[in-house]
Amino acid sequence: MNIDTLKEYTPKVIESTRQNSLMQAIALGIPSMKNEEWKYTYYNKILQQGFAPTYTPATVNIKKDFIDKHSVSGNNIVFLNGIYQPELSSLKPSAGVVFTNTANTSEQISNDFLIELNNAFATDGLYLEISDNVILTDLIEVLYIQSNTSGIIQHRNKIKIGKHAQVSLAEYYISYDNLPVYVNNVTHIEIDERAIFDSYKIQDGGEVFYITEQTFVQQAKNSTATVNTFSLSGAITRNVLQFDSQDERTLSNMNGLYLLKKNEHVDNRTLVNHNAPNCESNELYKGIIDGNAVGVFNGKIRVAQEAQKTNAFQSNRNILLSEDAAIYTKPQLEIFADDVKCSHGATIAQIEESELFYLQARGIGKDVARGLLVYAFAGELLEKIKHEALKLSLKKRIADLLNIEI
Amino acid sequence: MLKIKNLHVSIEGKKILKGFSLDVNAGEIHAIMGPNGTGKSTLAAVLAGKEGYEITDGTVEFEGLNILELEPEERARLGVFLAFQYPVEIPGVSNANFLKAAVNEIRKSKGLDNILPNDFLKMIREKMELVEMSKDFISRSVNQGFSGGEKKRNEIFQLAMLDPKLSILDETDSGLDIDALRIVANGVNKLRTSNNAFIVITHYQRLLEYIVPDIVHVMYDGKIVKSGDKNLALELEEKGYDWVKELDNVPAN
Amino acid sequence: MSNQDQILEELTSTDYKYGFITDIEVENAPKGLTEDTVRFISAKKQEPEWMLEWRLKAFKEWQKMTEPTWANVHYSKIDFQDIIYYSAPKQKPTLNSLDEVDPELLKTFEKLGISLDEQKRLSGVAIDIVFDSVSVKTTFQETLKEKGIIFCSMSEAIREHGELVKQYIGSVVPQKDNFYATLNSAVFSDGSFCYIPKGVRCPMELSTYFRINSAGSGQFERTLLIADDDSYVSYLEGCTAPQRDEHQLHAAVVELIALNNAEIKYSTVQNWYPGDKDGKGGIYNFVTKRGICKGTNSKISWTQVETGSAITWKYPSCILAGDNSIGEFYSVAVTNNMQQADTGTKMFHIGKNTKSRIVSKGISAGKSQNSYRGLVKVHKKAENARNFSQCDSLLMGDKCGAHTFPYLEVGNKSAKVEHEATTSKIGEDMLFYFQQRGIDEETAVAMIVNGFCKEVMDNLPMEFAVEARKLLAISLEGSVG
Repeated sequence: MNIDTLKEYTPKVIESTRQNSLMQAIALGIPSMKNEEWKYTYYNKILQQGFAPTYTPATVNIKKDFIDKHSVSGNNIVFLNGIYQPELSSLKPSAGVVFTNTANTSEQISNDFLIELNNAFATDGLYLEISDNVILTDLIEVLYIQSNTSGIIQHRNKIKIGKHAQVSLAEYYISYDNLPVYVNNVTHIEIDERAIFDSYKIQDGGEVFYITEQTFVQQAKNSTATVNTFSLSGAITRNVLQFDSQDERTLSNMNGLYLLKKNEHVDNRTLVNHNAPNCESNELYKGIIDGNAVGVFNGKIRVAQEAQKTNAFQSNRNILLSEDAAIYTKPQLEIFADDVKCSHGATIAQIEESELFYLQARGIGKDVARGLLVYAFAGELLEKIKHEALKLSLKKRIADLLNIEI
Repeated sequence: MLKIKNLHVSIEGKKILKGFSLDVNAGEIHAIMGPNGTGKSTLAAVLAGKEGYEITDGTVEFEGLNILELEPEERARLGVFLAFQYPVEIPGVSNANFLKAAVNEIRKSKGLDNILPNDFLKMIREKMELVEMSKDFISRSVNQGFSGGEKKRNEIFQLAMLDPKLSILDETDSGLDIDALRIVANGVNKLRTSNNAFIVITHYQRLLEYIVPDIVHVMYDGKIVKSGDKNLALELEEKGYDWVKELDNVPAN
Repeated sequence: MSNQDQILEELTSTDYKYGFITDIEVENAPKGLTEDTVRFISAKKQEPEWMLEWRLKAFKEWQKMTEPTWANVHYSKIDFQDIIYYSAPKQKPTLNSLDEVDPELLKTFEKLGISLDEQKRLSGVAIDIVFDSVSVKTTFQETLKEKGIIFCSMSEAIREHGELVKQYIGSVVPQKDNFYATLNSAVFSDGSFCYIPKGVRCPMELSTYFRINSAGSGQFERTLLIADDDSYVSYLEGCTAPQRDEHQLHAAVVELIALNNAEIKYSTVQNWYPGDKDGKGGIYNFVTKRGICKGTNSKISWTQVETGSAITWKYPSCILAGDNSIGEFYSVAVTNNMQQADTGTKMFHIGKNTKSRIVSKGISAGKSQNSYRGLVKVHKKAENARNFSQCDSLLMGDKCGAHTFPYLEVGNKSAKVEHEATTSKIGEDMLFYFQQRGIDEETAVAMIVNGFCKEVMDNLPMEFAVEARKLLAISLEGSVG
């Protein structure tokens, strides 16, 4: 697909709004590296794999045990090639929890090519509404499973969390057959007063999995939101995460771990908009980059003039493991209020030789020693996971990736 | 020297001091003891003139002058010194420059010329011995990277340099090990004269073994509920602060 | 905080001390920019043919270029045809002694606190003075000549040391580097040239003083500094301009070349007229400064104190090509009223074992916007590169902004790169601590600001540090203790 052929594809539902979005996407054009937002990621490379916004229903017959293997809570919602699968899903019914599947497209036109592409062609999506005061202890899991398709899979999600409610959500990007796939997701989350929301994104679809995803979180007074992003495998992954604090005393946490090898490429872009006083945000992203892989981090904290007494902290730490690995990081602060405490830091370093030697001196082989030290570096983010079963499963997976035993 | 009468103070509408009265004369050391949250540090901050406190009633006279309307630096120049519970770190400003500015501002207010560099150095050397400060300290930034004990010693060192009439020690003993406590107390004892006075605010009796007070006041819920000699501190230590709550309704003195 | 507001109010109304205009006869080029303007300038300077060709090549490139818009600054479009590209005091082209300098000019420099007379010998600073577009006087040439050091105006260097200029001009900032550098390459009028021969430690600080005086004129000077093997030089640069209601353009280029084991220390105190409280007038300071550590073990250190200009767009950079070379950038940028600054540095690590250090202190007051923009790039082959960056911002008042845009690009696994940044205001607790020791708020603010900038100030040569502290005080409030 290229921009000229884009108009040959018709949206699934012929609605004028979708048509408008298609026209907008065409007008905006495919993002180029000249665009500051895409400075280090070559988007066209994804489209060059032959992906196009057509819909191909899956032909595979997925068994329940495949789902069980990927789910830690057994409380899940399953999408296959962008369509909700009620027979495979097992969301436990619960009072105050409304789930429906629908492409929650928007009439509003944005200036983002990928949002408009999604708006025009999204096939399905998650609509989740949690009523006021509902506290869910079970993790809700969303599985995006892909199988043998050159169609761009696009989910459009909307999540609303009521006052004083508490909920945790995990999203998994999964490939059924390790064939090339491309998922372009857009998610909007609204968190009401004093609600607490925890989110985990697990991107582990294998070496030919392409992801572009954007998550927008709006927070009301005294609410807490945490988004943890684990990028463990994938050809090109681009995550956009935006927090808007609309009212006082919100707490926003962003944690990310990217573990890259071979030719993998991960681009994390976060933006925190502090629009109200007395809010806090904490951000920690850590990267481990091996092979020819490239890591990109772009974090921006924006503090509006009204947002006095903001505390905002951001940190990006990277380890380069190979000669050909590269990292581009740009931690930005834009501050328009004076009574604030903001800091950011970025480091790029290697495994400490002295630490490596210490382990070797105790009889541990160099590769294992290296693995253990990298695992320790990643550990800080794993420890932030509040769900024990999920934490354990990710610990195991990361130990596997590092060839160590834990 | 200091006369506090029926002082009422609120922070953001919350009443903290509720009719606090105290008289301090030259040559005296007063200890103010009491449980946490009873208004001890508020008293210190109000006397020094910190912003954010609403004085709803009462008077504070220092040497016959109403000081409540004065800026903090004006009070300091008159001779009111506060040893902070949490001394502030000031990056890039050396102790020497900081103290020179303070000494000269105070001298200026008395119509004196700036101190001569040699005299200043001599004075520093002399006073440093008092609190056993190491020499490199003078070129370091104010309180930056200081340990808890060093910060408190620095407060006493500044006290020695500025030679105030009234010194308020706000929980100077908190976070100090026994050696640092001894150094700090020793400094205070050497600086004591018949012309100056001290208010020692503390939670524990421990400090008062080293700095012996003339009068001990027990504070609870924003006012003094009992006063006595140094034995009151021991009694308080023995009976605990629950005892104080029972005293709450008994008028002071 | 009414007190602090009052101080801010006072400081925002502090007058610019250097805003006077010198009434002196000048010779101007006709307004506007065409090939003829370029030829006019070159002819005025009696330049050799190669130099004219070089300028014309740049001019052709410039015509194809558009103004950059990526910086975090906002201003109305500049009309490049409404600028006088050459303005010079009318007098003899070369001066043999101080007596021949126009007395009005001498007065001007006395007002600026720069004396051209023998007294200056005591302080051991050799000065080259650029008034509007031309260098009017270089002091101490004889003393320097004994050591083999060349320190003269760019025009003179082109005539007298053509080979050196030809070899190095444009070698660090190529003709078509960027819009303003290309413009400068076409129309630069003068500037300073400096060559330190092998093994020579320059015995005195070299200094250039820039002054824009004429109305409607732009200043486009070009500085070229070469430190040959095993040499050392410390170079100072100061700038002022009269108070005028219109904006004036300053687009300079500075190129530094450090060969094996050479060290260049380049310090700037920039105090161009910043415009008035409402943003009327002031200099647009669009400057390209770059140095190359060409030789092994070479070092380039930039130190800048930026208090002036309506808009500052400036990134003194280091190309660390030689093995074991070192690049440093120390900066204080103060913005007040309606000033905008987008400044920082670029460190290109190319050789092995290269090191760089960045310390940037931004202070914003009034309605100003202050941005740090920096790049640390470690090339694939740059083994063992080390970088440390510290960018701190201090905000005074709630109408200003502080922004940090650091780019870290690392392509070698042996690199160690660290970036730290903080943004804060002067805490009430901190002010109270000063006051409790008898120091009033105004003095406290001055002391805190100076403390905040200490690491940068410590890198300035003594004389300059004193001037810089004064400037900081003038830009921000009354006096500094």
